[in-house]
Amino acid sequence: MSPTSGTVPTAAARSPARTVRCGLAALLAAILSLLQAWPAAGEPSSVRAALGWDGWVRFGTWNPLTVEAEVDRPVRGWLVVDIPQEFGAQRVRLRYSLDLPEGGRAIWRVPVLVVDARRPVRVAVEAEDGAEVASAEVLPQAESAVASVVGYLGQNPPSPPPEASSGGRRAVARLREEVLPETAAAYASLDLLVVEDLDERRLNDAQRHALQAWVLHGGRVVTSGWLAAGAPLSGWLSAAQHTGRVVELSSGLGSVAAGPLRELHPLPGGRPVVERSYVVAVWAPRGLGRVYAWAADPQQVPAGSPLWYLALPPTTSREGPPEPDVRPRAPVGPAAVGLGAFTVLWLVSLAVAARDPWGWLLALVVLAAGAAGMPTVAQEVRERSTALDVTWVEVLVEGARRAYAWGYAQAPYRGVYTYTLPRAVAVAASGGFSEAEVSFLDDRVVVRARQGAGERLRLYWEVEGAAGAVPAVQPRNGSVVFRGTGASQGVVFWGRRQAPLEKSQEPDEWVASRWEREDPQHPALVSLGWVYPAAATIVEDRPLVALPLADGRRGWLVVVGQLP
Amino acid sequence: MNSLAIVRGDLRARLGTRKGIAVQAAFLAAVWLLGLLGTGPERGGDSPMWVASVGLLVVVVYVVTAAAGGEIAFPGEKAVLDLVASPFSAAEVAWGKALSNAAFATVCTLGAWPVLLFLQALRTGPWQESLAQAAVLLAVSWGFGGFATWLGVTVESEVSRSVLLWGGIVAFLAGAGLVGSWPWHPANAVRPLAPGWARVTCAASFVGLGVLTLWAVGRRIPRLREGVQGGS
Repeated sequence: MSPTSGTVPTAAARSPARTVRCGLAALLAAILSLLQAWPAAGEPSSVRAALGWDGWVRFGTWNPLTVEAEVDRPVRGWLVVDIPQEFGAQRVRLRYSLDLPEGGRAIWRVPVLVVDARRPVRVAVEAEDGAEVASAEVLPQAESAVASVVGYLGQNPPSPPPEASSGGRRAVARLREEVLPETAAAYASLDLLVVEDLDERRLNDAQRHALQAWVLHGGRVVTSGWLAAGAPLSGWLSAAQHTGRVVELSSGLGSVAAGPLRELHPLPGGRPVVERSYVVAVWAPRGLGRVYAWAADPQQVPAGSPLWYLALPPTTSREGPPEPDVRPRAPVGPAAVGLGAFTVLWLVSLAVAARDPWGWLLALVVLAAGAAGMPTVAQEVRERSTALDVTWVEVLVEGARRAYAWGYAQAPYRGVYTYTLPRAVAVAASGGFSEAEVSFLDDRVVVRARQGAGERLRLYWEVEGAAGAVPAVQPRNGSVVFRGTGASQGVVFWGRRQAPLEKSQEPDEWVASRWEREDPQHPALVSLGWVYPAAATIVEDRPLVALPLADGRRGWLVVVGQLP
Repeated sequence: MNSLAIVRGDLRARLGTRKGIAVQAAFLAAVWLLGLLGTGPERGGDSPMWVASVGLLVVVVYVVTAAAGGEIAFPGEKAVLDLVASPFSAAEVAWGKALSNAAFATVCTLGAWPVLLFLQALRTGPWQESLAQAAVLLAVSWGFGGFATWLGVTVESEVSRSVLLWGGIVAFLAGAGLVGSWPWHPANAVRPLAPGWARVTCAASFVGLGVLTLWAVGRRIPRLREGVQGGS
């Protein structure tokens, strides 16, 4: 046997062992790959929810709720957010339609009004038949309730004054771009956003528009650090340009602690804040809101710095319109028609039956039809008896429209009532009811509330969106020119004066020039005060056009002009 | 079969004649008005539905009782006294009147039932509740109808009969407040959400009253016949 031939039996002997090993390895690899693939295919449906600003919640106002749902099978149904109120005596269920394929994932960023710190907010994915696919609970802790929240995007937490001007606790919340709300309403619980670093690629369009709309309607943003040049939102939020030069402060100023101080160059409209010849900040108006650029890093601005008092808005609470004296009506019309139709048909059928025994069949048919129709008549009567008494305030700032509405209804009878609202982004229910189900549909919002007899329901909702045709408000030679439609009843307020709008020679152009002393109790100003407590100061420095709402709505459209 | 002939004749007179149609029209108009009254909003503890339910009870009881007692005389209708001279047996006459009262009470109750159903639906009450209320209406009106029939063959004077009949009914129904909160009293048993046992007790009591009075009618007829024969 040659050495070569000697190796043959060895190789032959090894071959089955190698085959076995190879087979085992292949089997192991297959098992591993199956195990890896298995969780992906069989991942159970899940829901995760985060409430508030990094867990901080302001009770009694809108807070952001971010919900992420993942399903292991196709689900067509609803995302349901269950919010307890009034010590658990009331429940508000917000329902958002969803249609997810197998393995589908979706994120909702919605505003919720949280008023009960002791009971959890429950989030669930429900199929159309009401079967629950997945659920989760978020329990807002009483300790997480604060009076003011300052959020920041970046690495370094700022140090605002620890107490709000109202006396409550102020929290600092670290945020990520992904959790920023998609509605301006959800920002209601945020006093100030400090932006040290903003990656706009991680924001979707809705988040961008919401942030802009919030600022335009009174929100406040501080930018600090080097925001990405050329990025549209960063540019819009910037009040100043950095020249690139940095001054090293060896000793602190009153507003800024020692450390590097960037040199700021105010952009058009920007107003510098100077301390000892240093530009420590620049601020610029954006609609009714303000943006600030700080020359120092946020952690360099101590809690007692005047920069905080400049940037933080005064703590105010919204009142809303006074509750109207809504009395339930007894809608006799549909009841009279429905009951009358049965009465007449029944009488005729009886007369026929008295002459011909087959007429009793007709009587039975009339009776069955009457019995079947009565619930429908009753439903019609119920719907007509609870028309919402709605008051609107619609505010238009540089093309960003926000409408606020308060609706009241008193239930004449115990039962479930349906109220149809326009397509709102946020709806809150309070007053007398035990359960309210708010369904956000594509074109409207439907509220179904279970009320006791005589209970008064209060609905508050907000509508957001870009205005279609943006009316223009321009000061010109001591007068104010308004370009828009339907302004015949309009009034212009500016600098403690007011003047009626009068038609000019130009089409769709109106002029206010006959000035008189401002009436602080003018209904338009009072209405604006419900949503902007500082309405009186707004009209001091910029023109404001107030028009009675058309299309059958009661309330005012307020068009805010730009600063001259 | 003779009993059914009495029923057919009575129903034809009470529903098919001009006066019958007019009475039904007036009755249904009252029911319609009570239905509208019941749509009033709830205020405090006085529910318009309670008022409407009691009103419907009164209206149904009035029409059925008045028809049974001959207070409303329908052309062509044979009263018990008329049937005394007929070849029908006493049992057939009693059964016939019992059934005709029941049929007329059913017709009147069915005319009022959709209104009760409507008022229940308005307050999201269960439809079975309206059926239970209707059952009380039917039983009470039939019971009083039997009482009126018995008075018709027992008391000769029309004035005395009317005073006894309406005085008794008014005292009974209007006296609900005086006798206290007896749940089985018709004015309480017909209320929405009255206890089931109270309704059963009320209905059973008035069915008993109807049976008793119509049995008494059956017992009375032979004596009347004797009197008629003796008189002739």
